[in-house]
Amino acid sequence: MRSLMVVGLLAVTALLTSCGDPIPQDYTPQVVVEAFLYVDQPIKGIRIYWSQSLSDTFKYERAAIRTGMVEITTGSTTIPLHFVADSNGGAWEAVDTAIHIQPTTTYNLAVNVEGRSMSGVTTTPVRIEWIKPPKDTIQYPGFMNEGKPVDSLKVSWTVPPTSTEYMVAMECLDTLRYGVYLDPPTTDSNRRIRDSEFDDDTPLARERTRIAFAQAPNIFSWGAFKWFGRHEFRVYAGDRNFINWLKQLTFGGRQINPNLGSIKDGIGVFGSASVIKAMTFLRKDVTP
Amino acid sequence: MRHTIATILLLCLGAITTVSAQTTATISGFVEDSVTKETLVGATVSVKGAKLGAYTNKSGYFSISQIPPGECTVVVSMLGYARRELAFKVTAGQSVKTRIQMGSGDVQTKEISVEAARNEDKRQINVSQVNIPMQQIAQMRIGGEADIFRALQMLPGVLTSSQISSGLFIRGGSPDQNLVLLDGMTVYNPTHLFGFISAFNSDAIKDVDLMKGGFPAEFGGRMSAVLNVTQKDGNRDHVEGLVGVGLISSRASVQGPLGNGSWFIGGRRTYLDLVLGLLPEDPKSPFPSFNFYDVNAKITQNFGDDDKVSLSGFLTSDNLTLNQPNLDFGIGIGNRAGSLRWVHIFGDDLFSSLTLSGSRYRNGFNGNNAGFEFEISNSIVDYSVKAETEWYASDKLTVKGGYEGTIFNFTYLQNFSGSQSNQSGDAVFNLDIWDNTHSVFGQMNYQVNDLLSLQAGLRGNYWSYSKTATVDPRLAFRYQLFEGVAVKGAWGMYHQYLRLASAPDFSFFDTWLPTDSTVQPGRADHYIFSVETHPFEGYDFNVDVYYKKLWNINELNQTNTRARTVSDVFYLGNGESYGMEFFLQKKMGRFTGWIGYALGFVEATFPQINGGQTFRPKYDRRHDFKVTGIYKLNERWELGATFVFQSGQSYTGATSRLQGQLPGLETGVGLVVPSQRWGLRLPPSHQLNLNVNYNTTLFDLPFRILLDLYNAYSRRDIWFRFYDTNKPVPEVTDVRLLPLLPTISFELKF
Repeated sequence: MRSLMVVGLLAVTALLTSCGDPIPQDYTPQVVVEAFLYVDQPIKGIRIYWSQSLSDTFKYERAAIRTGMVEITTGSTTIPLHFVADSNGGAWEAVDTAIHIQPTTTYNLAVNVEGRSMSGVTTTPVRIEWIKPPKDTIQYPGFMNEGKPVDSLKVSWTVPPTSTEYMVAMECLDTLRYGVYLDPPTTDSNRRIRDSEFDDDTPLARERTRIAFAQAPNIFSWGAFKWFGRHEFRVYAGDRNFINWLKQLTFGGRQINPNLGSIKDGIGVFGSASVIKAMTFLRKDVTP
Repeated sequence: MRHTIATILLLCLGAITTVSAQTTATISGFVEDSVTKETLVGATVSVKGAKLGAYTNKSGYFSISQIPPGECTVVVSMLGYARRELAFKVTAGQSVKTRIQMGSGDVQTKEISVEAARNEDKRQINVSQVNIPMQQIAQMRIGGEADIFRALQMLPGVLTSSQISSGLFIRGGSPDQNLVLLDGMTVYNPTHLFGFISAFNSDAIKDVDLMKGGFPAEFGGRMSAVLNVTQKDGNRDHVEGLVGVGLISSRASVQGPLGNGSWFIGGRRTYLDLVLGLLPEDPKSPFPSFNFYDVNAKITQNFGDDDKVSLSGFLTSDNLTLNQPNLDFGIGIGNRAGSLRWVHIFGDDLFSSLTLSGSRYRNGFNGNNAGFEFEISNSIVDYSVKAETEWYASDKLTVKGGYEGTIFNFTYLQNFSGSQSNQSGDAVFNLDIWDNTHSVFGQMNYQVNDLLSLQAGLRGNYWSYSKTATVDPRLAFRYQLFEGVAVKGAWGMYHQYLRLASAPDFSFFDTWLPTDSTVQPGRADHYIFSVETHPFEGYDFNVDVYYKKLWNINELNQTNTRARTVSDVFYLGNGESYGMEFFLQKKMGRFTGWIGYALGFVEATFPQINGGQTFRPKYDRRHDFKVTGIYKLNERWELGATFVFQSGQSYTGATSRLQGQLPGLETGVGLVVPSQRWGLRLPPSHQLNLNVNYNTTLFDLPFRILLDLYNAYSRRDIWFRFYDTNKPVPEVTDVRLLPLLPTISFELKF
């Protein structure tokens, strides 16, 4: 009888320890820093905010941290930052807007907010330039064209010594109008390249800008475009911190990967990049 | 001095053996099926009234020496065959070679098994080794497909990452830590359907041995386990065939005699693509096309009594294509392997084999986005030679030694240049590594006395690419406590040279890599203690306790896009696993099957993962309870069932969320802040599978109807849980596994 009881107790213990854990609802707030420096541009757009509860809609206006000490130093120069409110919830920027970020320079970020101290370091890349910018007008390949390109999407830019990976951003400047930019103008409206993208109800699908990760300074596939029409084509030659954050957001999964962050004692990024831009117009394909 | 002593000991041993051989006799030979003449692996051969005996090896060969002159009776038994007793009259110094044929005999199965257990060869230590009869494997089906890996997953301590994965996680080791051999060929990705079912066609397989740990020195190159699969030689007596039609695929096999030997060829193919090809489709939204096929083939020839040559081949291919407007892509995954094995028997006590083999695993993904071509592909190719000699020195001593050399070629191609004809440039990464590895081993099984047997072995390895040499000592023992109860133990060091970059749930872009100078080879130390009993007549009950320490194990670094060395591809860390396994098995009678329970713990520590803190891997499951039963109601009806209950797999929770930004984005990307890695556990998973076989005839040919109920009570276990951060309020989303899946399939023999 005693043996049976022992066996029974062991069985119950085994069953209980096999049970799954309840889904946690606890909220542990953490400070997030997202700071990017762009060569030849002033310091601005730095976001510092509380991570939000899983049971709430994310609202940056509610999460933003507006007070504290934030500064960037380079060499012996210290650049104080202050919070500037705007309609998007505001961000931190240099008090002295005349200061522009220099290439191949190391910058240190120090953040002391809400009783927490965080820091980061970035070294800016050299300036990059177009070798072959995109053409003013590009013809998207036609439907059922047997895979043969009808126009070239070849572009290229100078390769910085420290960057081998890039972010490409293709921003559609007018998602509504299309024909007004043609010569002669038409009343044709703009549309997405693939109907199926309407089905993808994600924040990235709703963005006007498509960002992509590139490993070569001259390669693009047509998948870089989401819309037809007017586009600003930007290339970011980022430092390692910048590229890691790009990976975090594009193929790093839905969880923060600490190995892709660059904020010491915190979550987020302090990265830098050189940027080049060009305008282009993508002509629609001809569907049967 | 040590060398001198060793030499003297060996010379004395040789002298004793020679003197002994002159005063006693030896009986050796092959055991084979009386109908098909297929050699039988693992048959027990013993001399009645004497404590002499042996098991047949993978070639069906045995050798019993030290037989006193005079008349003797040799008893041969094997599960599923009628016991045979053969009378021999031997003289001193005589060497008798024989070929023993066994006829099937269900009625005597019970008696045979008991006899076999009692005459167990004490030299066979076999710690943590499981052999599942092919008759039982054939009953464990999914979608009508008998599956070796599914059967192995029903053993305690053998886990999977999910019910739809056939990768074997054995005692805390990942699938790449298992050496998978098919007729001596290494198979690098033995799966179809991206890991859903195994690539081994059970119709072509004769024997399956799984060593869950503590394996001897003759096996090396892997840290956790060995799966040694032997293909059928083929029917040496007459031509026969089998045709099967199932839900997933159809299969056919034919075998027959050829000269002084036999041949076998079998294959499977899916037909979803053929069916879809008949349906009308919208050119703007076409169907994807998928198929897989595999082929097993073998030719065996005997040249006299002492020479046997086998040529084996194995081919698998999985193909997925999608041709959409302006976007085509294709995925191809496949194995090609072949081996030539020559078995030669020198005299009556020296068995040798030479195996030349080649194996290639390749996967590739290529596409065309409106004229922009891209491609990712990789492969591993090996060319191996393995020479082994087994010396049956006496009834107490068996010595085995050999050499294994392999030339490896690893390739990896990533081409995003827009044209597959471009083979260089910034957008092309082309890796081509050649390497060669060498191993030598020696092992000895020695029966110290009636109660104690020892096994000692040593394996030396050299890998030229990393210029690394390792030595792996192995030790094992078996001690007969009393009648029906034996204790066993094993300890060993195991080094692994190959590393696999793979996702845990899919074998999609599996990439094998060598150990280079930037990393140390993986290493595991095994400590195993087991108790082997026969509590009731016809029942085996084993308890295994194990501890395994692992060094330099790897986790794929999925975010490194500029990997140039192995240390760039992986995070490296250490781990350990420990636990207990209980296994009650009934191998004979109308009702056969087993009950298994495993209590297991797996832990890993990586400096770059989980903040350097120890975590349990995703496949760590605390409790693992499995039941398998097969009941032969009569000649027409067979019933089978399998049931699994396991602790849920681990997942990572979250403590808060954020909206990550990049320049140009308006909304950003939702992300959660994780809690302890794999720190939470999903609800337990459990599943019942049922099957019924009906044996009848069709056109006077044996015909079987097979009805399977996969997941009989439709338990939708959670495959994985994730936070859907695309929703305004993140939702915890469970992706669930397959519901009840009834299938019917047919088999016709001719």
